[in-house]
Amino acid sequence: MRLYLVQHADAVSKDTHPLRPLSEQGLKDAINMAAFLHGAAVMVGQIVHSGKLRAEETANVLSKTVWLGQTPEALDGLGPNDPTDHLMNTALTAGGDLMVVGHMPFMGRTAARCLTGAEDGATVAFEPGAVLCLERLEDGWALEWFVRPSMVADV
Amino acid sequence: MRLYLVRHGKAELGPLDADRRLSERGRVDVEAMAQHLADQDIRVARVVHSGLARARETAEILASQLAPGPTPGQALEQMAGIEPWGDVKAFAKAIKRWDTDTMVCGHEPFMGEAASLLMCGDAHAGLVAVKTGTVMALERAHYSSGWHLRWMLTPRVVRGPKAEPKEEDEA
Repeated sequence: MRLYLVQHADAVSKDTHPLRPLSEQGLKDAINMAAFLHGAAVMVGQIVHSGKLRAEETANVLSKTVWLGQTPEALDGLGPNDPTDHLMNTALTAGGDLMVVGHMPFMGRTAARCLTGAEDGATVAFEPGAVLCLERLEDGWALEWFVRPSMVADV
Repeated sequence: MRLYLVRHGKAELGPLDADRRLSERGRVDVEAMAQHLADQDIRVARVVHSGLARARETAEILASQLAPGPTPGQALEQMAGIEPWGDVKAFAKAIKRWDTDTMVCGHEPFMGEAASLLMCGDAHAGLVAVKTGTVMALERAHYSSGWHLRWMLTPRVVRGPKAEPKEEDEA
């Protein structure tokens, strides 16, 4: 199976809006990323997000191309500083490919744990809107690709 | 500085391993990758490659798009020690002295082991599954001696899974 780890796209500051929706740039980045994933024929069996508005909005945009526009739901344990165990268990029991939209540093710790067994074992340079694809092989997870908004064409 | 680790595109079979050329699909994959990277404003000062034909051809295609100079091929350079059987630790030591953005075209298992070594200190950690034509962008971490991954693209992600003749994956 594949696990897609996504950091929510750029959001406005707390001062601009207390719920921190996506900024104009963040929305644009998410739309460009959705188009890129469509070109790469990425399809998933489920999308979950942290429940925070910026993660939910990012998940909704990506769902348009990778999950037939179905509505992603919030999953517990995806907060910026939550332990990674709950997601690891969810991923290992998922029926199909799973996309998870959340936050730093959680995404970086999850990626490092999958790749090395330790949450500080390796550094993947996440940024808002970046998508990482992990592939489950016989002997564990391996990184298949990693793309950030600056490496994706404008639609 | 940025370091781009590249595995050559798909190659034809041949009696002499060092002479194997890129297959038609391998060439199309690498050309699509070169175009995509050029479109995203990726430029490098140097493109180094192993002495094997499939890595040299991959480097030539990438250099033509990403290292434009007054004379074609000026940025190209052959490097010893990055063959499939090369010494990954010696490579990691050698690049400590590099200070310009460089693309390195080589082979598996060398490139996957080099990426694992630079990212987590263990060449055999199996961090990445490096398919033919894959490019990994690494940069030196600010706060440690290690490197971190900025992005990693495969031909399949860049081109999409177009109808194409099936060819075997190899080193």
